[in-house]
Amino acid sequence: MLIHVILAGPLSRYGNGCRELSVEGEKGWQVADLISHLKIPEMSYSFVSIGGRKVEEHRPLSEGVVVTVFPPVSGG
Amino acid sequence: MMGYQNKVLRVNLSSKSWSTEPLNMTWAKKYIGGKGLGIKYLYEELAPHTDPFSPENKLIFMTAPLTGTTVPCSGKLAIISRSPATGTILDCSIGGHIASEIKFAGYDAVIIEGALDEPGVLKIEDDHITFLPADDLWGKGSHETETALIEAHGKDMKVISIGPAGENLSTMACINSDYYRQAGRGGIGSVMGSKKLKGFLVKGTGGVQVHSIQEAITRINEIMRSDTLTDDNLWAYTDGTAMLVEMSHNTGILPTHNFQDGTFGAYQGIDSEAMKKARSGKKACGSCALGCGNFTKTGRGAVEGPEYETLALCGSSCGIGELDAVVKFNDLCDDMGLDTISVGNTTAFAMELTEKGIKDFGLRFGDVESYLKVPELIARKEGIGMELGLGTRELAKRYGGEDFAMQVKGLEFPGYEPRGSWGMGLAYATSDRGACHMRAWPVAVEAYGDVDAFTVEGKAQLVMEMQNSNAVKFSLILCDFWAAGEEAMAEVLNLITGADYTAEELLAIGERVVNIARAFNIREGFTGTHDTLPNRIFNDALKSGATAGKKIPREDFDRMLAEYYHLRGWTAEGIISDEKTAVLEL
Repeated sequence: MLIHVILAGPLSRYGNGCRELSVEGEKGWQVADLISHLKIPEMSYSFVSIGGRKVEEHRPLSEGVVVTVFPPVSGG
Repeated sequence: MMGYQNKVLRVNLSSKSWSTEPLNMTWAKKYIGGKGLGIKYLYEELAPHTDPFSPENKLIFMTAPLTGTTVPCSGKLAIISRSPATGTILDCSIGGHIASEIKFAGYDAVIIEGALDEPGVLKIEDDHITFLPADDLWGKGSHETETALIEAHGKDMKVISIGPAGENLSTMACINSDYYRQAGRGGIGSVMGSKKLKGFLVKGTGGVQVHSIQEAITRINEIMRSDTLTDDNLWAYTDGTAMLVEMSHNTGILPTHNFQDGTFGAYQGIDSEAMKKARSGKKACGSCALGCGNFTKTGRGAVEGPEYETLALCGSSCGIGELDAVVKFNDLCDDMGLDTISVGNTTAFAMELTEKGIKDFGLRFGDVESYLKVPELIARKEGIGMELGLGTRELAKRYGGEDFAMQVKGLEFPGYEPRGSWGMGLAYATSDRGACHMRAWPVAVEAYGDVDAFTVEGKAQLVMEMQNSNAVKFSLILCDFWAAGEEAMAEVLNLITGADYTAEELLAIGERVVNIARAFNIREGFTGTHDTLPNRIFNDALKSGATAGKKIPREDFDRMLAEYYHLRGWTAEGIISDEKTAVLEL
């Protein structure tokens, strides 16, 4: 199952410096499994979006889905 | 206490005289510095109902005990006055390098009183104060003014100036420093303009005494590594605030077409990836380890920024998805000395008025050419700028559209859609200076975090705690981009001053600061009836993305506000109770 990942801002370091990459996932994966696979620590991202909408970590992933991971931010 | 210079410079422009006096340390212990101490001074010294443009209004430039030290992100200056835009208390902060220079010149604060007869510049070199004519600078943009002042007085001088907007008393006028740093909101630049003060220059040759320099250096370096230069703060360096464009679009809170929607189809034209392709340099404020400043150069112009607020209000909210156009608009606002939030917001409002056939300003969403004319017209009070410069509230009174004039107390909304972050709605409504994102920023945990954004449950507590914490942060004048908790703030304050503040004591000070600001506003006639939002937020559902179908039901907002007053110890009308006043020792 091919998953397209966008690592926003400084999170590209979890993709060897690449903002966009593809990950071969396993059937039944949820968002949390992808985050774990990418080795992104819990405190190092704020939320995950699919199709322009924030999603929960137990959201199932499907073939060809585009997942964007965002960093924590402060201020405003 | 160490860290303070224990000296205030008081300048009377009317008589061109000056004096110094000890800093009121009783107040300093209770309000620290920056926002808190500045508001306390203004509350005590300004007569109620003083016309913001009268010589009697004061302009207070306040530092903090951390200013001029190597404490990370401590390089900002607080500027306090009564706002000509709202009539409320107004405190702004400005980055760059001016704050530490005031401290090095030997002052905790510079209090400007009176008004000049003719345009002038104030020059401060340690204890040598001079008043210089500025007829040749009047009418010039901030960039040209700063360059002229540095060429005439030396590059070691740090400069604050206003542009034509401030001179012409635009209530959207900001104060500039270091070319691209602004104290932006509430018309602070027009207070300076009303005093015919085009700018002031500062050079100091002194230093700041700290409690234990060895301990301070050691711990500050450790804090820098463990708490400042961390993953959590890295975004500020790699992407800067433009990072928030993509995040806000994905969470449905990116103001679009004057807050008619929360997603913008052309957001990728103005997000941080687009900006990286046009990045031409980096810059940091004094004492900053993060370096969030990004220079962007495009075909139409160059600017430090644009920051998120500018990208949202002057970009998506105006239907502009071309970075090139936003950069030029930003550059014009900076040079004219205008707040991009209020100008962008008002431009978007005028676009909606035009497209709805209510009043034709010749402006339409996405029309770049007409849009780019707006800043200079507002600053110089020419053409449609005569009316746009009034801001959304006054425009709505004149032509209608009050339901979608996106402002609170006369100050235009920043770039976060409250219908996708209900706590943000409460924060806008109860902010001391009108709609502001820097008094509390629940967006971080609602839209961008895992707190339910579409409920009022727990939001009164959340907003109150954030307001108290931010009041501490801006009284220490720490930059918002260091996600410092109260423990860290207490530690750095104690390292510098030798005091023994606890985190709990700092939060109590934060509560006191929020209340002294509220007391100022109550004295000016503000009550709970002013703590509200435009009807669009209550009545109109958003259309697309993560917030599609969302609005804040009026009864839910009222319940959230009532709970907030209760938690604050205020009456149901939003007035500080006598008991609370006594407890806080205001």
